[in-house]
Amino acid sequence: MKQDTLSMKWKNFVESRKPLIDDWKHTAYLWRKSKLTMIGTFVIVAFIIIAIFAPFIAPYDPIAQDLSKRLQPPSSEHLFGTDQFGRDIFSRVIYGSRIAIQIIVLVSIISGGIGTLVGVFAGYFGGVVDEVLMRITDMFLAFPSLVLAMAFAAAMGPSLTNTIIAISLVYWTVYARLARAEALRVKNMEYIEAERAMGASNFRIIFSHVLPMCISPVLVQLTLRMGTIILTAAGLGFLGLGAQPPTPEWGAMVSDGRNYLVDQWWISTFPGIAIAIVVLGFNLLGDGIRDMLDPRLRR
Amino acid sequence: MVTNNNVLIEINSLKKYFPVRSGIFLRVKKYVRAVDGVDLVIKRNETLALVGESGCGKTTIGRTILHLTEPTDGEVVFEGKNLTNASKEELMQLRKGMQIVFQNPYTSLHPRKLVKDIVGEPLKIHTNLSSVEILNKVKETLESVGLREEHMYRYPHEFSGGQRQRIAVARAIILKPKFIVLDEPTSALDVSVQARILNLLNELKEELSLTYLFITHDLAVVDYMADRVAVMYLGKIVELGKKDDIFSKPTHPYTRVLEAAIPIPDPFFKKEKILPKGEVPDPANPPKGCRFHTRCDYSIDKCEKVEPVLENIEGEHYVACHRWREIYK
Repeated sequence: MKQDTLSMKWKNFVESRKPLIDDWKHTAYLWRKSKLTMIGTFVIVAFIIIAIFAPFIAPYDPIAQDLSKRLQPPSSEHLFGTDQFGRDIFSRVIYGSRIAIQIIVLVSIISGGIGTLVGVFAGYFGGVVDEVLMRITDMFLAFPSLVLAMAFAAAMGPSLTNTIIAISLVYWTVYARLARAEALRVKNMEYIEAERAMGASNFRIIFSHVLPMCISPVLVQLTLRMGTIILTAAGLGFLGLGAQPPTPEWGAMVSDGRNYLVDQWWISTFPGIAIAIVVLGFNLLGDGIRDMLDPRLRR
Repeated sequence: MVTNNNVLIEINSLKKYFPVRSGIFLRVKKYVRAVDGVDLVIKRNETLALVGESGCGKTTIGRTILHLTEPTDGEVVFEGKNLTNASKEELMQLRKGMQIVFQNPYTSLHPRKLVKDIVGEPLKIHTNLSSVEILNKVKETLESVGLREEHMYRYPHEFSGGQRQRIAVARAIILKPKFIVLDEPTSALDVSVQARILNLLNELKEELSLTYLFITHDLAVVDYMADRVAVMYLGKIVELGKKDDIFSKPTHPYTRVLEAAIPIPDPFFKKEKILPKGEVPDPANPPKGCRFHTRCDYSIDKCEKVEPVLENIEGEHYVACHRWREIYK
């Protein structure tokens, strides 16, 4: 008897969520239709798996030096060869994915969070608040992003944490503009007016009604930007303003090998390929997600 | 101020001007006079219809009563309390007593919220009920507007226009308010659905002893719903009276034009057409004297100079026209 009512409840639950399930099925269908999005997804999934299982995949300690085996070309023993300190490049590339993920996640959370909040407040309140917040945003946008990130990183001193802070401080403007545009659109909708007629506070309206509407364009932009974040972090690393040695950061590794590029090409090439593949993967995935969420392509 | 137990809302010389900014420095160049000195009394348990064409200020009156827009001048008194100088806490209390149903049910419901959250929202704001109690209340309210329990876990886009408007009505009545502004609640719906929503509104009015301010441009609907009718033209009330008076003895020339525009569902019926001359004047720059004189067939010199005031014809029938004695038979 009890079993019966439970299964009934489950059936009702499934029934009530059917449109949602159909929606997901449709999304999966759109995903399968686009080869490039699938490739992007696989690359990123592989990237994440490699980062998680790095200690099991990497054959050597990424920072252990062995000067007797320095500058060896790729072989069965050292898949990607060794660098000028005799460190295994394959292991370093594998561990580098962890650094890259750390940067991406933290930068996305910090810059996405700051940007969305600033944008939503500016858009919702308008007037003076909007002017002040948006002029500050314009000040950040006035500089080329890499130059500004370099300035921040140099001012705060080179380290991984400061790289993350510097990149976040540069990229939040994009999300602020997006979130503001969405908040401007949403705040004049009748459901917000209805909320005001009920007597809801501004705080409540912003956080439980305006913000949820602003998040999806910001999320799409975040995935599209992840490639750029890696490139910027690698750029800072290459210039010596990012993660410090012996941290296996891809940009710094490319930089390490540039004096040996003619004779020992493998030192710079393999981390460079890793950067290229992951950035490409994120771009393909981001484009795919943007297309999938495009209402014109949906039913 | 007359304190009368029969009066729910009193509006005294209400004005709402919207500034028009232009030029490089966005100086205020002129004002659109959406509502320009309106006095109105809404009695308990009546349906007062506010009619007029687009842009005449009827929606602005509704929103100003609910304090969704601040009036430029004048006051709104709800159950003896003046809304225009009420404190935040007082306003919060007063908001429990009045609600609004919007014209377009496709934009008045949050697209990312479940129906239970949309309808339960007023309870979350105004009461400390637990989520289970709220859920029960929502269920009850949905049933009273003709929806079922299983609809609670769906999103607005899964409903038809009529059902969405039922959800909007449920949200408006869940706090058991005394007064609801109905801002063209059926204009966005199919004709077949309109009648059902109107019936629902009438039933709820009886059941919960509600008072409606029914804003519309559709006189056929007014005939079905209203007890009294106020006709607006360019921010002013030009005629006010019991529904039967307005329909049987329309006196203001503008009311007569509106009346003549009601379609009659009989293909062989040929009726005399009265069309007003020209277009509605710019509300930022209304005509001097009587605002209707530019389009009125009865216009005389006096109409261009002196603005008419609302005069009592008989009983509760008022009109703002210099020549009503000649027109009224």
